[in-house]
Amino acid sequence: MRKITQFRPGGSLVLVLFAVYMLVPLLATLNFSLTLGENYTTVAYEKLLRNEALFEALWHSLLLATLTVLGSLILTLPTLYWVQLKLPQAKPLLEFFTLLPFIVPPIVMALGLIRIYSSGPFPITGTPQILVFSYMMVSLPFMFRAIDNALQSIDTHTLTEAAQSLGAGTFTTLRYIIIPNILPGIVSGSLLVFSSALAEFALANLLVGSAWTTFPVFVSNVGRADGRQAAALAVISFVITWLVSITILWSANRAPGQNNISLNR
Amino acid sequence: MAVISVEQKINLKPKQGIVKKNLAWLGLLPFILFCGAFELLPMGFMLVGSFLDTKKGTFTLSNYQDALTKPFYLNAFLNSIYVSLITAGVGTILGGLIAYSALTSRRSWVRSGVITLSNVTANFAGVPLAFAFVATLGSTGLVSVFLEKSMGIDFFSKESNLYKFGGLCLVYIYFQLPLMVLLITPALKGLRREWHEAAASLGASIWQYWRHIGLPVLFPALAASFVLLMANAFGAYATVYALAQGYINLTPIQIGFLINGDVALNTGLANALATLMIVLMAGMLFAYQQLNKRSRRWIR
Repeated sequence: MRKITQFRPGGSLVLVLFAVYMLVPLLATLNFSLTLGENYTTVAYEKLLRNEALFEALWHSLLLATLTVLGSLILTLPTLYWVQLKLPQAKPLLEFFTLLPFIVPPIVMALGLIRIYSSGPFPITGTPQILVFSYMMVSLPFMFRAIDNALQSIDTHTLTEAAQSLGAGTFTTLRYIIIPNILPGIVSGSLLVFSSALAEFALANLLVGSAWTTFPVFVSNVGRADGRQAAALAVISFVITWLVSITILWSANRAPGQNNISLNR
Repeated sequence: MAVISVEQKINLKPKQGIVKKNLAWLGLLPFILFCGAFELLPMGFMLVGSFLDTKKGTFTLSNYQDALTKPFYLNAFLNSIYVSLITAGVGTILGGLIAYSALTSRRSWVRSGVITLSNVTANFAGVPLAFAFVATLGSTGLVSVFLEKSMGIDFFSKESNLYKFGGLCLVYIYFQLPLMVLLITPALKGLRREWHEAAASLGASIWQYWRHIGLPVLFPALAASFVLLMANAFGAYATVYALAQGYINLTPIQIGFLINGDVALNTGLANALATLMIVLMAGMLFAYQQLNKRSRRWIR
C-alpha cells in the first residue's frame, strides 16, 4: 500500500519556509523588545509593569470576555435547544442571523450601533455594556456553530422524553440532562468566543475608546508612542493568544467534530 | 422514538397543534429581539442613513455619488478589493500547499506541529501583529537592518515599504496562511488514499489524478476557503489601523475616519461606503453559491 509514492513537490521546503515566515516576526519582535542599540535591556517590560493602566486594561478585557461568553451562552443554548425540540423549521432563520456577522464587518456594524445607542432610550455608547452586546453579536457564529454541532450529535428528543417521563421540567432537563451531554461543545464554543472578545479592537476603539480602555486599545495607544513598548506588548499579546489557543486546541481534541477557528480581524 | 412522534401527531387535534406551534415561536423571542437590536437595526440605520444628507437630513444620492466618483474613496475601494483578492489568492494556494505537505509528511510531529503553529498564529492578528511587523520589517526593524547590513538590500529600511501596499499584503498573508491551513485540512483529510491508488492502477499520472480527481473533489472547499479569506481581509480594520493609518487608503479606514476623527464628520458618506462594502460582500457570497451549485452537480 505504502509503495505508491505521495506527490510532494518540495514538501519539506514548503514547510520550512512556512515555519520561517511564521516564526521570524515573533523572534524578531522578542529580540527588538529586549535590546537597546547593542545592549540587552528589559526597560520596556519594566515600564509596562509599572503602568497601572496595563492591569486595568487587562482586567477590563477579561471581564468583558467572561461576560460575553455568559451572555452568548444564555442567549444561544436555550434557543437552540428549543428550536431542535419544538421548531426545527425556524432553523434557517437562526442561521441567517448567525451568518450576518460574518458578512458584515465589525467596522460597518459600529456605524449603526453608534447611531442607535448614543442617544435615545438606551444611551450605552461609551460604556462596557455596548461592548458586551456587540461582542455577543460578532461572536454569535462561533457559539452557534459549536452548540448546534453538539446538539446534533446527541438524541435530544429521546433524552428529553425520557427525562420528562420521569417528571423533569424543561429547565431541569436542560440543566441536568442536555448540558452535561454537550459540555465539550459548550466549552469549545465558549473558548472561541472568549478569545475573539479578548482580541477585538475595532468596536472597542470606535464605540468606547479611552472611556473604558480594553487591552487591545491599550496596546494601540501605548504602542504608538513607544516602539520598544509596542514590541513588548506584541510579545505579551502573543503569549496570551498562545495560552488561549492551546486551551482551545486541548478542548477541541476532547470534543470531536468541533471547530477551532475564530476570526480576529 | 419515531413511533412516539407519529402517535403524538395523530393524537393532537389540528387546531391544538397550530396554537402550540404559535406559542412555540415565543421561545425564540429573546434571540430574535437581540438580533433585531444588534444586527438588523444597525444595518437598517446604515442603509437609511446612506440616502440622507448628513446636515439637512433630506433624501439624497450624493453620498453614493461621492463614494463612487471621488478618487480618494474610489481608490480606497479598489485598494481594499486588491488587498483581499491578492492575500486571499496567495493564502489559498500557499496555505493549501502547506496543509497538503504537512498532512502527507511521514513524521507525525511535523503534522501536529504545523496544526499547532497555525492555530496560534491564525489568532495572532490585529494591533499586536502590526507592531510585530514594525519591529521586524519597519525602518529600524531587525530583519530590515539585517538585510541591509549583510546583503545590502534596503528594501524595507530606507523607504519603509512596510507601510505601503506590498508591506500590508505581507502582514495580511501572515494571518491568512495559517487560517487557510486550518480551513482546508479537514477537506484534505477527506481525500482518500484509495482514489489515488485506483487512479494509479488505471495508469493515471499524478498530473491526471490531480486534474480529474483531486482538485475537482477539493474545489468546493477551496472556493469556500477563498471566499472566507477574502471576507477576512476585506473587513480587516485593526491591523491596517495600527500599521499604516494615513499611509494606506482602505475603505474600513475611511469609515473609521469619517465617524471618529480627523476628517469633518460625514456619517452619510460613511454609511454609503459601508453599504457598498456589504453589497460587495453579498455579491461575493452569491457568486460563491452559484459556483458551488455548479461544482456540486459535476461531482454527483
